[in-house]
Formats: sequence, structure tokens, C-alpha cells
Amino acid sequence: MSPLLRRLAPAAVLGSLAVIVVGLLDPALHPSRALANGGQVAVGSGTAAAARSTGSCATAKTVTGPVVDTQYGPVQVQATVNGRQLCAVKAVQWPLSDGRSSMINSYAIPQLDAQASQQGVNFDGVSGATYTTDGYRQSLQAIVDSL
Amino acid sequence: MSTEALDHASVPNMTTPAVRRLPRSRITGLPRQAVTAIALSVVAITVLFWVAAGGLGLFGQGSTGIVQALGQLTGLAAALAAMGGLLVTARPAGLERRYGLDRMLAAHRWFGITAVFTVLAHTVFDTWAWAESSHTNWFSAFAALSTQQAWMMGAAVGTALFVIIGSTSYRRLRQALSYETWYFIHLLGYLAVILAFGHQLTLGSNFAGGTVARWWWIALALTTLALVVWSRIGVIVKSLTRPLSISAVVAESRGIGSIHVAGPGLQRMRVSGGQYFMIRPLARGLWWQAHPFSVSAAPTTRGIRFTIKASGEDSQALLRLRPGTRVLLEGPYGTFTTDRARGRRVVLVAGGVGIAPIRALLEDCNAGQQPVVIVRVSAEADLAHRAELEQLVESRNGTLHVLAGSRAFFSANDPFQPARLRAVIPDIAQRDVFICGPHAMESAVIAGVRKAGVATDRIHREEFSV
Ligand SMILES: Cc1cc2nc3c(=O)[nH]c(=O)nc-3n(C[C@H](O)[C@H](O)[C@H](O)COP(=O)(O)OP(=O)(O)OC[C@H]3O[C@@H](n4cnc5c(N)ncnc54)[C@H](O)[C@@H]3O)c2cc1C
Repeated sequence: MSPLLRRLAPAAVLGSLAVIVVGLLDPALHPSRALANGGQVAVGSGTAAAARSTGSCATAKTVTGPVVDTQYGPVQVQATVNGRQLCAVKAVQWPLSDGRSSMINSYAIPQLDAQASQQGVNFDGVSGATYTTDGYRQSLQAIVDSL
Repeated sequence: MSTEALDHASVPNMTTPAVRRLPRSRITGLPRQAVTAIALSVVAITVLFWVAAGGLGLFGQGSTGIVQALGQLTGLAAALAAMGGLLVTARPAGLERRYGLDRMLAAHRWFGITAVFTVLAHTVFDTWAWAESSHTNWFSAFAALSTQQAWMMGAAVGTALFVIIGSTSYRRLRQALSYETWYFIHLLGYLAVILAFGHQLTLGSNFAGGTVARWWWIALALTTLALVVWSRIGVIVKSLTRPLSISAVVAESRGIGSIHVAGPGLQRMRVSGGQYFMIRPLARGLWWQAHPFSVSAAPTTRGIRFTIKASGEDSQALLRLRPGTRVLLEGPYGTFTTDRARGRRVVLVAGGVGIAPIRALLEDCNAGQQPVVIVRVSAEADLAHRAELEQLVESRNGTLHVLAGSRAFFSANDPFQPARLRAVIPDIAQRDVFICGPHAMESAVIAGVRKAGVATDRIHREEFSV
């Protein structure tokens, strides 16, 4: 081995290992737990993905719902819609007032986004984040009512 | 080849008008107050955003609240320290010219150690808080955090890299690794900082959501990134635009040789005696590393000379380079120049190959500075550039003391005792002292001259070991 390779090897092995572990295991990159990104929701399966693939959401417009105040802070959602069809939903505001809310919501919001995008207003909700779920539903309901 | 070397020696009373000294570097670093003000405002603004997001309120929410608050504060401290550490190793010109390599590296070390310990504290506090609030044990809390939260695996891996980088820099381990192995591992710091950035935005309670604080944080990260890229890539691009090559390699004394670098690339360069360049020879097997070497004579339009001790593989390789080999010079760097003395009289102390920058400093002195040069070597045969030193000292109204002897001899007969220093240099307390040599010797000299009455801010040292 050349001196360059010999000296580069430990760092190269460590660096690749780090990238592989993060790439395979990080929830932000893991397809089944994918997050909202760039205004569209990448769900592994379900109607939003199906709708996107048929192209009917290609010309969707964005509608923002009202801010709903919950006990822990404001919740607000944004949806991309095509006519009366919901293409994708994502929260744009959620309670961060304290460390606990922010931890819970950072876990709940991606799930709510994915559920709402697939199931619409009657999504299941996330247990342990009831206030956020209710606020989310109200803001989304207002969008659906306005369509 | 050796006539080149003689030409350098005769620069002070040069006869050929075609050869002229390259202009000295400008000393235009950022003002100290500006640096302090910027650093303090960055910290203050970040803390204010934390307070505005209700950070202080957490202290009123029982033990879990306090743990959360500490988790957030240590997280912010770790991120700021990591950014500071990256910024100082990138050595932006404005900082480098103000503080010099030694202090930049000392700052880097401080930032690095702070970042490692605060990020570990942050991990402990946040696992604790999560375990408390979700009523689980620490282990499941840690697992849940790192496998279910966006960008938390990145944070965990980034933290692990930080710990590895920190421990390979621990002296014992560091010495067991070759310089480059250690250096490449150290470069993973960039990866660690990037991997850990995501969770700061998705989970950091101050920065998640579309708040002003989030933009502040993103702007801070982007500014750091831009400065790092600008300074690191900048020097490489600059060195690429300067065509230079080896013009001669000369044996000087036992184990010491010099290389001369010349070419059209010299034209727009400014260099002061005492400064150094990172030399990157564009030769097979050598192009991928750059080593620091000080100019050992005032650079002229004819060339720049470096005096090199064959201490390891790469310095030996430099002394075996063929004339004509292209080299890239990154720099000049360093603030170890006569500007620091502001025209006052000086004492220049060299140990071993420390003579390289001292020889160049001597040439930059004027007769009013009456330079007293003290050179410590293990044997007379080890002293490089003796004739040049004698000639320069004479033309500058100074004196030369060569102390030859083994380290054991000197540790028994410390030549830098205050009484001896005062006997040889009666006005030493009024002088600036420049020191370059092995670490132990530098410390002995500093201790001695301090006791002899030299003020701390008039003692200037250059360290060859990084
Ligand atoms: C500001 C400065 C100016 C210097 N000026 C001179 C000079 O004028 N003449 C001279 O002979 N030596 C000088 N040195 C020391 C010289 O850079 C090292 O001796 C050289 O890099 C050793 O490399 P090596 O592979 O031959 O030895 P190795 O055995 O591989 O390294 C020995 C030690 O040198 C240091 N070192 C190695 N590579 C680097 C690098 N790329 N960057 C920083 N440190 C490194 C490390 O502390 C290492 O442990 C200077 C060093 C510094 C920091």
C-alpha cells in the first residue's frame, strides 16, 4: 500500500462507516418514517403517492389553514390541493413552548403529516400528542371546508 | 548550485540591481476588539433566542425542566464551540494575521475540548430528560431518541466521531500515530459537524419551526461554512496560480540542508522574515501533503530559501527533490516578524533548526536594533549558515553567541539563568526576545528572560511542533 493509502485508511473507514450508519438508520432518511420535505410529503405508499404518480397533483395549489391555539401552543397546517382533492398535508407550526412539547411534537408531527396526507381529515391521530392532534385536525378541517 | 546559496548571503550588500528583496507582508489583521465583539455578540444573541423561547422558564418546572434546560444550554455551547473550532483552523487571513498560528491552534484545542465535553453532557442531559418525561429507562430513552427522531442517528454518529477525534488528539495516542493518519482522522470533524447539524433544526426547541431563531442559526452555520471554504480553498487556488519550482538543493550542516524555490510566481508575493509557508511538492507520492517551513533568508526576486532539518520521511524527501520540481507554496503565514519589536532592540534565540526563522529575522533587523543572537546547537558541526550569521550580525551592530553542547550539559549548566543573561546582555530588560527552538529550550529561555525583567508581551516564540 502506498503511504497515502496507508494513512488515509483509518479515516476513510471511519468516515464511510459513519455515512453508511446514518444513511441506513437515520429516521430522517429512512423511507418508512420519511418526513415532510419541500412542501410535499413522501409517504411510502398510499393515496398521496398514488395521486402524485398519476400526475393529478402536478398542478396542485397550496392552501394554508388557520392557526389553532391549543393548551401548549399554536398548530397550523398547510395542504396542497387539486380541486377538492387533498394531495399532501404538512404542519407549518406546532407547539415548541417547552422542551417536552418540542420533543413530543418532533415525533408526532411527521406521523400526523403522513396520516393526514393518506387519510384526510379523519386520520387516526397520535396517542400521547392529543392536543396537537386536535389542533391539527381543526386546522385541516377548515381547509377542507373552504374547498 | 551552491552559488545560489552564497547569493542569499550577500543580499544585504547586493551588487546586481536586478535582484531585489520582495516586499514585506502587510500586517493588517482584524482589530482585537472587533474579534471579541463579534464572538461575544454571537454568544449573546444565541442565548437571547434561547431565553425568548422560554429557556429560563424551564428552571421553574421541577427537576425535569432543569435537566432539559441544561441539555439545551450544553447543546448550544457544543455547537458554538464546534463552529469556533472550525473557524480558527480554517485560519481566515484576518484572524491569522492578528493572532498567528500558535494562538489559533491553542484556540482550536480549547474549542475542541469544550465541544467534546459539552456534547457529551448534552447527550446525558437529553437522554435523562427523555427518560423522565416518557417514563422509561435511560437505555430505551437513548435508543428511542437516536432511532426514532429525525437526524438523531446523525447526531449520535457525529458525537462518536467527536470523541474519536478528541481521543486521537490526546498526547499519548497522538504520538503513536503518524502525523497524516492523525490529520486525516481530524478532518472527519467536518463530517461530524454536518451530521449533527440536522437535529439542531428538527429537534432544537429554539430552532425548530419557522422562527427568526431558526434563520439566525442557519445563517450562523452558513457563514462559518463560507469562511472555512473561502479560506481553505482560497490558499490552494492562490498557490496554484503561482508557478514556482525548486531551483537548488544545498547541504548546509550535519543533517540540515536548504532548498531554494524560484519562478515567475515570486512576482506578486510579499513575505517578511520569520514567516513560513506550507510546502507542497508536486512530485510523485508527495503532492498530497504540505509541511510548514520558515523562510531562512529575506526572499528576493531570485528566490526563497528554506532551511530544513531531515527529521522525518517527508523532510528528507524534500531535501532529495530534483531542481525543476514544481512546488506549491501556501502562505506566507505567521506573525513571528520584526514588526512585533516596533524598532526596539532585540535578542534572537535559536535552538537547532530554529535557526531558519531567526536567520531571516536577523536580516530584517536594522543596526539600531543591535541584535544579540544566541544559537544553541549540540555541536559546532550542526550550526547552519554560520558565515551568514557572522556577516549579518556585523553589519547590524550586533553580536553572535554560539553555545555548543549536549542537552545533558545544558540542563546541568543552564545558559539562560537570569544572572548570566544580564551579564551578557546588560540591557536585556529593554529588549524584545524572539525564540525558536525545541519546546523544552523555549520554555527555559522564556523562564530565564522573564526573570531577567523582560515583559511577557515582548517575548515572541515560534513553535515547530503542532
Ligand atoms: C510554523 C512552523 C515552521 C517550521 N519551520 C521549519 C523550518 O524552517 N525548518 C525545519 O526543518 N522545520 C520546520 N518546521 C518543522 C517541520 O514542519 C516538521 O519537522 C516537518 O513537517 C516534519 O515532517 P516529517 O514528515 O519529515 O517528520 P515526521 O516524523 O512525519 O513528523 C515529525 C513531527 O513534525 C510535525 N509535522 C509533521 N507534518 C506536519 C505538518 N504537515 N504540519 C505541521 N506539523 C507537522 C508533527 O509534530 C510531527 O509529529 C516548522 C514547523 C512549523 C509548525
